[in-house]
Amino acid sequence: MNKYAEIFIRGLFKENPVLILMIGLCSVLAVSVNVVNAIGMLAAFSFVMIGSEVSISAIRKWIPNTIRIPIFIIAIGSFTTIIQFLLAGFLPALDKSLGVFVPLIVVNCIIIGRVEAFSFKHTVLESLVDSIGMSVGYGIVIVSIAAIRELLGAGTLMGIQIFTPAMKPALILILPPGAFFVIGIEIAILNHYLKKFESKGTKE
Amino acid sequence: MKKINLKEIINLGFVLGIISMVAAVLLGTTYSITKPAIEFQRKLAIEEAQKLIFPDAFSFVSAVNPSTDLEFSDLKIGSTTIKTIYEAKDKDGNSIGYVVNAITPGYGGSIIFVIGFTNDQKIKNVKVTEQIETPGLGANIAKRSFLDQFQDKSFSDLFIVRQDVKAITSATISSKALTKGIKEVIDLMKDPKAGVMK
Repeated sequence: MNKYAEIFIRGLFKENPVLILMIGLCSVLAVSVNVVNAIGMLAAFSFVMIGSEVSISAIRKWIPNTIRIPIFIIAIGSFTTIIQFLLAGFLPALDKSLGVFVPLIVVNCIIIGRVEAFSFKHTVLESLVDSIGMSVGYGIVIVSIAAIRELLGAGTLMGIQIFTPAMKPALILILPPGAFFVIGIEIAILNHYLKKFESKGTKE
Repeated sequence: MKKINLKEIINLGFVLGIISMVAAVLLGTTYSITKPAIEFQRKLAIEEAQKLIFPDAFSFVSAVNPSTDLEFSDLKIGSTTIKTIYEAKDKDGNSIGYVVNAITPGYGGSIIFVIGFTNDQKIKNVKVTEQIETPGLGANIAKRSFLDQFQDKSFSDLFIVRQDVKAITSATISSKALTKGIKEVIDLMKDPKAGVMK
């Protein structure tokens, strides 16, 4: 398989940041109340992820090993602040509903984890592919959780009424416990199929 | 112990400084580009709050200090800063009350709120337009369940948390901060020297 395709696919399944590496769960659980919020969070997250990975890998040769972490934080913090300004200026409604979770991208372990583990040691192009793969992997999870929670918990999808009001939605899915239910089920499903897939690979 | 290498320390500081500088330039540029848009959104939120407080108002006119003939702006009273005072008017141009936009320090940062008064010295309504209090606790000061208790409160009321104002559970500091801000705005409105209310 092509090297870049492999890096990309890895972010989706084998090293899915949320379901396999289990990092950055906080924002996934908190923001996945409805699909619109999830897509907004995904956009903000991807911007910071791609920006940080690419810029760090571009300057990795000049970064002294001893002070790499402060430099990572400067890069991640800057990109987060930029997206925050943009959201507050142009999408105030989304900015309000995402609230504290945009500034919290700074301490999202997915980003600093990937910057440290991957882009500090790889080329710009590889880092770009890795950051897109990680963002898509994060996106699949947060949007799917949000879709399930919104549909079953509020009876809507992207704010559009799907179920008739006569059908009472299960409110618990919108509440914090609902996030844990759905993410637990998704983790189980992905692990089940990954194991099947891997055992098949070894037999052949 | 490893010998401290001065050259290395200077080198590290230099690299860190350069990178910080690049980041600062980037941030400064975005800030200046987005600043007008953010200001505009802020103004919009305040206008919306004014309409929410006085749904029956036809227009909002900037209130003027009768002694100086100047608009009120950036008045400091205690720890609260009053940004603007508008007079709400009905269709025939009669005054139906005042709306004040003020900033007061909270637990996490500044609380920006809009408060409306009727001419019979009562609070019409309060709305918090911006705050960065603790989510889930102090941030609840922006909720109607907390703010509705200020409705119809009179200027002569105490505005003391735990006496005539119910605090939010485990967010006493935020509750007290907003209550103090409201009280200070009222002190100014009451003050005949300030000359806001006729």
